[in-house]
Amino acid sequence: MVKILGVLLLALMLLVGRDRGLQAFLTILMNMAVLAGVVLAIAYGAPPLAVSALAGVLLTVLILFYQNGNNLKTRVSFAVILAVLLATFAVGWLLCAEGNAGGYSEIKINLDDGLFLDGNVSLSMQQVQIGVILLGLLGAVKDAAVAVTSAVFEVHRNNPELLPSQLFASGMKIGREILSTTINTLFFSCVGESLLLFNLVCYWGYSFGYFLNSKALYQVFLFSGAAGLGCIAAIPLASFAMTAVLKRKKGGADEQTN
Amino acid sequence: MVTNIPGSRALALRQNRPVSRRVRRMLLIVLLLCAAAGYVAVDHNDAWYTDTIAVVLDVQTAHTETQSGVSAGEENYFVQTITARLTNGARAGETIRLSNQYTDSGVRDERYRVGDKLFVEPGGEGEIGKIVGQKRDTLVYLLAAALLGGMLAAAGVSGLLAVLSLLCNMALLYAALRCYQSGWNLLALTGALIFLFTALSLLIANGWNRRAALAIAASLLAIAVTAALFLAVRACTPALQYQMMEYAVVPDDLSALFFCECMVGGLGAVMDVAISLISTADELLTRQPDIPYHRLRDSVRAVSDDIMGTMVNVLFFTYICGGLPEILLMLRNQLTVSVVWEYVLTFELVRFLVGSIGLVLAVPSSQLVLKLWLRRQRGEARHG
Repeated sequence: MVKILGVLLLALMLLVGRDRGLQAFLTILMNMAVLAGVVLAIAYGAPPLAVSALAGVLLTVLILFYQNGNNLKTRVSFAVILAVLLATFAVGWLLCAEGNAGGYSEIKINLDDGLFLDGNVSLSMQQVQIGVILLGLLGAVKDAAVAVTSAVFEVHRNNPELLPSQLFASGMKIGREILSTTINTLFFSCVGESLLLFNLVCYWGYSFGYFLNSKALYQVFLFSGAAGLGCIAAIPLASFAMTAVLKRKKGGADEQTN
Repeated sequence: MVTNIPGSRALALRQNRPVSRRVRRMLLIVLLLCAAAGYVAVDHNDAWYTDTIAVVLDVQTAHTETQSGVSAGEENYFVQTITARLTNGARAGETIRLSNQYTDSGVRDERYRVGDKLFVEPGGEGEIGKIVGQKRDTLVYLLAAALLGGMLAAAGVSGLLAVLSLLCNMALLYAALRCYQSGWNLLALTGALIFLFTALSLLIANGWNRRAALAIAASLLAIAVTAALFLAVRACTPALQYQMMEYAVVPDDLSALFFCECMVGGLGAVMDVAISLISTADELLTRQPDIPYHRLRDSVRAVSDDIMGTMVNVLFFTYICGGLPEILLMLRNQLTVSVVWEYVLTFELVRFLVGSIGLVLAVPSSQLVLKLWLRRQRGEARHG
């Protein structure tokens, strides 16, 4: 099934996007390779946090410079994404530790997953969870950062006389549009991932209070919420950084970078 | 350019009527006060729960044993002797003792710290009570408040609308789940759910206008074709191991539930692509009503080339990363890669692939909808 769907996707991407479609498909394959590397490295005993941080940087380089080319916009986006990753790292660590977000949720423990996996894995599930949150927001944050930096760049190119505050405002304006659709996308993919969980909660009639405090909800919410927050943080950050870079150069000099 | 969507300018102008700086500041202060008040309320809501809650006052940790890991390394076991104070119920204020075992990995256990609030079943006088779970509502609130505040601060009115549409969609999802529990047909329910999700999200974000109507039509068309493709592929491939899905309970419906998951999961991305393309075309049409279709198609294509790769990436990371902890656990338990593939990876990949196919299909379906609409519009103009 996976193979057929994969071929189908490749065909459609080629049909609709031609060379850009092929490029997008190749990016996905490379992402998969990197993630497979992450999983194997952690499975063979590498520290999960270090590996996922490294993979985060590597994947950012891949999806940013391979898909969007190396120019002023992507370089600024890169810095913005790194800053967001760093912030998420800190916040994610704090929230994971405070709410014990790692490991199996109580609902899953009650469920008896049928595989009877041994818990003695000598691998901190908490750290794994932080790594997962870190990697999960890459796509959304890159989307926001690139959209905002390119918008500011375009506005500046068409109208170099604008004040920094006006440039910043135009970045925020585009960010606003990206934000609501991205939040929507994240919400639906979260529902798609967790429909069975929600169904189970309804099926067994867990009380609202129980579900609200459960680790199951916390894991899901933390994962999607972190991506949303990363996106929100990336928008003003990208507007500000791009404005600052453009205005420092005093226009003109950056024309050849794109 | 993703960012050259001309529609955005009109949208921003419409939604951001100049609000004076003072009103803005006032709003911000009110918002912050509300958030702070909410925090205090959630942090002190123990009395609202019927379950007994205790706050951890003191923790003594002792290392009990070291077991060898299942594949490598060692696993340390610790026992925490916890002193806690009950915060609600008839025995509020009483100090109790609890015991908790945790391990380095923490696969099925948790480590508690001073200040954590726990749901407990306190024993009688002098007995050691049982820990049911941690109280996480304050953390959930903080995260939700940060998201809400961030959306409002970064996006103003359109952020508010996005939040509103999220809330509506959640209510819709809850209603649908209740209907499903009371025995409604799942496939019909999925169809209705997808229709309502799409219509609500796009109408709330854009208002009732040409743009929203066309985008709804394009999204629904794309999803319908995706569903048909998915069902066709499912019919001619061996069945997946649905019973191995996370949180699977009702065995007879699992394949239908998985279908619903896949469709709903990709819906956001499909809508995102459709509304971006339709907005571009709509803006061009507003500026130049008699623009020939092929020019419209070219600019739609330029936008779609830019967003397609990005959106596929967004789906990839949100889907595939979710399965990583389970995959790692399985690999550490020396299950083979093929088991991991069959039990976890397949589901994540199918979800991702179906969502991506949907969003790629949103491009031609937007073009088709535009074409049909233009033909009808111009046909009518010619005849009338």
